[in-house]
Amino acid sequence: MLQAKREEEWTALMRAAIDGDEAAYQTLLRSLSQGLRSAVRRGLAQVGDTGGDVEDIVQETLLALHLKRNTWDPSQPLGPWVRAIARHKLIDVLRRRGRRMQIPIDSIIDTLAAEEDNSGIDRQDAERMIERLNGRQKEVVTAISLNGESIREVADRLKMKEVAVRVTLHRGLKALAAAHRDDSKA
Amino acid sequence: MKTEDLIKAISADTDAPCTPISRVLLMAGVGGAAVAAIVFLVLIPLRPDFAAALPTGRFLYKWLLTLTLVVTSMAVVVQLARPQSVPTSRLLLLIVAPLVLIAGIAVELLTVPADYWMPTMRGRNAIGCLLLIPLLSAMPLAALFLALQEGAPARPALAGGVAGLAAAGIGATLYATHCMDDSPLFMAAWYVLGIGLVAAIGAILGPRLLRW
Repeated sequence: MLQAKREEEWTALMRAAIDGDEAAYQTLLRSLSQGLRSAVRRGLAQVGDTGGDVEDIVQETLLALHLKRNTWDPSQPLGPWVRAIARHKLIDVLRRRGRRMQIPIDSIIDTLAAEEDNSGIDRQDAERMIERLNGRQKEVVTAISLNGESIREVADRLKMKEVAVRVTLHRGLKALAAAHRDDSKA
Repeated sequence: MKTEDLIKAISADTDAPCTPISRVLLMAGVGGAAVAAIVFLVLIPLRPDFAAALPTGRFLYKWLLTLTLVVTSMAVVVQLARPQSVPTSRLLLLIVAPLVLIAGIAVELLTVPADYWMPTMRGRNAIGCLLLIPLLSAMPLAALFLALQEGAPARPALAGGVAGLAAAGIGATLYATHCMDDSPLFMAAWYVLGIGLVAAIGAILGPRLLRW
């Protein structure tokens, strides 16, 4: 019952977000990220994986939800669509990790060490993702996420047009999603 | 970056354009078809008797078959572009075009004497059909793949394959106005082969190009 009510709320929030309501979108993403976190943890436990990169997968999933929100049909409830994306991302991550077994031993040891020590790793991983962005994208994404600046503030500070900041932010988020995707391919 | 920070960045991107994937695919289909039609009109002549053939049942049957393929596979590809699994009932739309083909073959076999079956099937320009249908399908296929990259297909091979069917349906619709062979027997052999080739290319490219 409670879950059903929450999902109705999600659907309403996403409709508002698509109409440009930024606050509704933040509320939705926060609520979704909590659900995703426990779902990812459960999913990993199911396959006997105790890796420490739950947060990494949550973030990759949030990016996919955002960048693929045009594949949600607003006349339908949001829940099944979110679960489908989360499932796809989790499977994708596990599959990528399967491939990791074929890469040189050094990197495997690296990886295992990273997984044994959970503290601070999530954060480090995500910062490594931002490092992959090119100069302007990195600047804009960092300003808005880590420093909490608004689009207008970034535009003023970097002497850019607001629309240019928006475009850079959007491309930056796309690049971030791609960096996640290619993370373990090298 | 903490998840909370990422949420700030994502929500600041609320205004980024968000065109529904169904519309993106439809525009890609129409745009791809328009470009293919221009390529066709520039490079390939209409059949000389086009005006006379157009109102005949045999010619219109070709369009019935190819346009059925276009409409049904586009309807399916719109579903396949979404991350949720597609119900089998929706996938069953894909058998409508084969059913139209089977009905056409049945009528043909009942009305054409058995001696003519083989020559009719061999037709006049089988090779042209095999080359030109994939050629005319290339632009629609590229456009549909670009559109699908905006999507989130759970089964990229299937999505790519069905996009191939839709693109080949567009190519075949154009090619049908050049091709002098109007028999369902000819279509069953050569159109199906050309269309199948494009669908196979789509299915092979899908997993490579449609990751997300």
